[in-house]
Amino acid sequence: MTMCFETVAALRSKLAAGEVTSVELTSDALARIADLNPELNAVIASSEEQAIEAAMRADEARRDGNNNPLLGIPMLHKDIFCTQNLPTTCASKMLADFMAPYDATVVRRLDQAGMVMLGKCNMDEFAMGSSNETSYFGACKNPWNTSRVPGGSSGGSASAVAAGLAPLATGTDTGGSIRQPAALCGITGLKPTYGRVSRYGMVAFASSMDQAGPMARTAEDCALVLEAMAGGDPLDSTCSEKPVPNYAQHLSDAVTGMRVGIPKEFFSSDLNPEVATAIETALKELEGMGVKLVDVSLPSTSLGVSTYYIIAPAEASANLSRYDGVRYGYRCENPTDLQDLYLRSRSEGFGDEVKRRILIGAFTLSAASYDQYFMKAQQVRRMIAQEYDDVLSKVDVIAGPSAPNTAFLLNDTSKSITDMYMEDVFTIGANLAGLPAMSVPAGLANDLPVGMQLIGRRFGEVDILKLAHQFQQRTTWHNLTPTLEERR
Amino acid sequence: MVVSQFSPDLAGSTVTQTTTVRDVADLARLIIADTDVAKVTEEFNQTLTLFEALTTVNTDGIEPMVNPCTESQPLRTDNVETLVNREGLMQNAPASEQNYFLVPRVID
Amino acid sequence: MRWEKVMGLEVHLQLATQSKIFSSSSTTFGADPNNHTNPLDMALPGTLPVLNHEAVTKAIIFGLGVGAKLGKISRFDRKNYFYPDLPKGYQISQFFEPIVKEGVFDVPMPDGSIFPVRILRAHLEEDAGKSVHDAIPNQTGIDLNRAGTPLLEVVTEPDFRTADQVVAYLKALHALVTYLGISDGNMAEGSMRCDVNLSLRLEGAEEYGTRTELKNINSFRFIERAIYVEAERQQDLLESGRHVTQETRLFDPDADETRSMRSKEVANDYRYFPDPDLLPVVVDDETIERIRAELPELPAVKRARFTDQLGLSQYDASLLTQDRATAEFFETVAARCDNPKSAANWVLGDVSANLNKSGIALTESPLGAEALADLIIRIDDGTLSSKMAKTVFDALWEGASDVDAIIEQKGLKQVSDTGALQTIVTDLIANNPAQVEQYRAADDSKQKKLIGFFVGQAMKASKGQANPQLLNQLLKDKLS
Repeated sequence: MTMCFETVAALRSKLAAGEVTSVELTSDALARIADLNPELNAVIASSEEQAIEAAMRADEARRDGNNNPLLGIPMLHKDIFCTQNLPTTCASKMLADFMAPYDATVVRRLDQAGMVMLGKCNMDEFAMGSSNETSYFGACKNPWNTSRVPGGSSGGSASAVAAGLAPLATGTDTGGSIRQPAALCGITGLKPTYGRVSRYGMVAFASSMDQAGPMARTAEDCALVLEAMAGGDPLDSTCSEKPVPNYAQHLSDAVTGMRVGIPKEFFSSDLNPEVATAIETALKELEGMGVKLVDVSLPSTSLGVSTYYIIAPAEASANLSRYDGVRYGYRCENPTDLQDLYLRSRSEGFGDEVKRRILIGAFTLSAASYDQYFMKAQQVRRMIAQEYDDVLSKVDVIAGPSAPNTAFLLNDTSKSITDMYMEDVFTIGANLAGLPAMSVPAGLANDLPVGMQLIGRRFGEVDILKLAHQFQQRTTWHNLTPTLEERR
Repeated sequence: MVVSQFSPDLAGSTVTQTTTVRDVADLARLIIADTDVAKVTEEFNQTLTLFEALTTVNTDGIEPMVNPCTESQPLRTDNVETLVNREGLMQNAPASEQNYFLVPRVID
Repeated sequence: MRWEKVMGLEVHLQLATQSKIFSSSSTTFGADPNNHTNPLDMALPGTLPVLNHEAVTKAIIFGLGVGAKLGKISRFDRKNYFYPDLPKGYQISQFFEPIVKEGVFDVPMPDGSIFPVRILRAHLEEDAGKSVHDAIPNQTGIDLNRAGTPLLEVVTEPDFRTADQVVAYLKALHALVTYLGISDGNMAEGSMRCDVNLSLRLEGAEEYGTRTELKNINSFRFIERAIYVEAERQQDLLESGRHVTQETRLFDPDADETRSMRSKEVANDYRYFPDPDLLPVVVDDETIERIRAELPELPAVKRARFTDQLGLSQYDASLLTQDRATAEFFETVAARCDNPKSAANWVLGDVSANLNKSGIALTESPLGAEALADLIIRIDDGTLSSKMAKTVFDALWEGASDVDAIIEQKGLKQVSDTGALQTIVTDLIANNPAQVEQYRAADDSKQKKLIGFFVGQAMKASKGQANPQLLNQLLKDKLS
């Protein structure tokens, strides 16, 4: 399939020029999914008929003069976004058959922009994980090496884009769940500023950190899609009414003279040496763009994981209380009484990692622990946010690695639970502080992708996007694709 | 038709000392099988060890951060919006009758 | 041992908004279960709360009504527990920073004194749904129509010592909230729900005893009884050397006792924490002043005006100001007929009696305030005797609306024409010589009784329309 690795921007031109139709792109994508997904398990469910119908409507709209940049381009949604056309499972037994009676705002907006939804992507259950291994529908594979993880929790989205199943997939990022899988799969992923994109219809994990974002081949694609996703929503109190810039238009704004801070704590012993080398090479490229690299310090980096793993599970423990077998979702068989209904529905419906986090969350919120753990973590959170603000008052963007390692092996039993949590060490700060951050491909280490992270000021997506875009104009790492056998 | 309007609040909320994982599991309505208690407790403790890093941090006078937003709560006009998809609301109900959601009979 | 009851009240008021506190579903009572619900009310995944402007306004209005300090920045918190009528598994409430803080509410007691109650706080929260236990066999049905309705929970300090004070407070609270137009404040319908925290201590003691919470008692009578019964129970415990357990209890009116709520065996830690889906609610001074300027006259102020300026008794003033509809009805009548005392008598007397008999509210009264005022005017100007006035009143109640028309139609004009009355009197005296002689021979006190005969006859002759005062005067003159 010659077009399967084309960018959204390139496909737009081809569609506009009449070189290809949306129906062709869509059916090719569906065929590719049918071929490769049995191995990759990146897609949980696809909607062939509806996708083709949507593609037909897009082609017709184009004939009628609609030239929206996203019109007719096939895409996938992480299975955490409510869609009326397909179940929304969050990769959990708890919601395996759940049919949402409404679309998430993100879904609605991209649909209105004319994008064609092919299906829903695999993920870690309820977005809790960094490897996509906690999914009820089985692990997802990294297309670069199918014995390895794609990262998580947006593992399916990253794997799908990396494998050319679609040029774009939506993801969500609470502690790094867009950036880390993007890094591990060699694609570009953006977590917007907290409040930039509506969370309505996006199943909640940690309400004060969850953000939806695009995962694609390039920063330019992310810019195009973010513009369509972002903006105020009366259905989400935390969604900002700040005007949405025309991100695509600013991609070529001057970057010379930009100051990029490199936190020394991001190059600690947590960082795999080969990854460190790749990042250093990438940073030199930034320098070559006329950007000034500045040494900075984020001393609270080492506190981020603890802070996050108190706050996120606490919020999640409350957000997941609604799954009780009463109004929707999994219900145990023949409950004997109300408590039995709750206990068995929840225990049978949730996977182990979800249960672990609910327990930790309930614990840190309990009366005896609240001050010492939860409130403390919220105070440290403000400290961390303040630290980022201070640094970002002296530099425009912070840069460093997205993840400490490249893609690790599936079923790596040597990794403890807390080892897994440490995968988020570099990404977590941006979630705690609510800052925009993205991962761009920065080469390979041991034949596996490495991602460079760029973190901006609140609502500073323009800065990180233009830097990333111009970085991608002078480097070619984002064009690398994994070799995949196509089964026919 | 008897309509019960109570909910199980305690006067002043009797506080439970959640010293065991079982107590926490009860609060969260999760079952921990006897055979799993040791493992779950071990994992729990591992995670708590991770949190120890915070105990030495001086946070005097720092206001807890609930949400990175700096704005205040937007207020919605008091208008009724009728739902467009009522069947959709009940379609996922595991057990319903006469438009009620059903649970095993609760005795006051 | 003399024991003192110490009580604090938590009253939940359903705020009279059109839509719910966080969702745009209607708050009106729907017939079918779950037909006033939307994805947010059902806690479907991905749904988010957005705060209703009117709920905030009504909370502020309440705060101003009790002279409370307002929480210029208040926040919402999650109160976590599992129950089927609580769809999210947590209730959004205000635990740490309520919108209304300390205030004092002056409660008028039946004897005319004022009992000041310290309001500790009032906060916004969402209501739960309803559980129905006998619609389907062996099942409890959950109806979420009510889930998400805005509530204002008003918490007092433990200032109450008697059941009378509690009842007076609840009545005054009802009056206040209906005045302010923020709630129906109706206990029987559930728009005002009262929980009583009760403990005992020895008179003169400073420390508080262990309290129990009496929940969901929905009438004044039951509240009085529940307080009595629970105080007795606690007294028995304490006097026999046992302890009172802190717990929630229900009042069973049939068994005339309180009992522990069975679900209390599962202890609860609510794990309150700030709700990250909602931002701090900021209320600025400008908003507060704007709301203050638009407040209706408060019951206490009205009461004072009725006694000081209109000359009504404390008792009448209290009764008339019990709800806004009655007060405004009375004011309209009094202003139009310029006779407040008479207006008060009619409103509290015949109007009230008729309303009770028909089982309707004042707002449904077939007799309008203007018509009643016109009636009083015709009494005061001598056109109608009190007896004839009652006839007119009845006609108005039946649906007629023009007092003069009724008088004309039924020929009810009081005969005050001295000449006509003179004639009647003269004829009477001429035709009843025996009674006249009896009268003239009697002493003063007997005369008072005997004149009744003449009055009666004269009334008959005038078809009941003789002006009684004038008639009396003429008779006395002629008979002496």
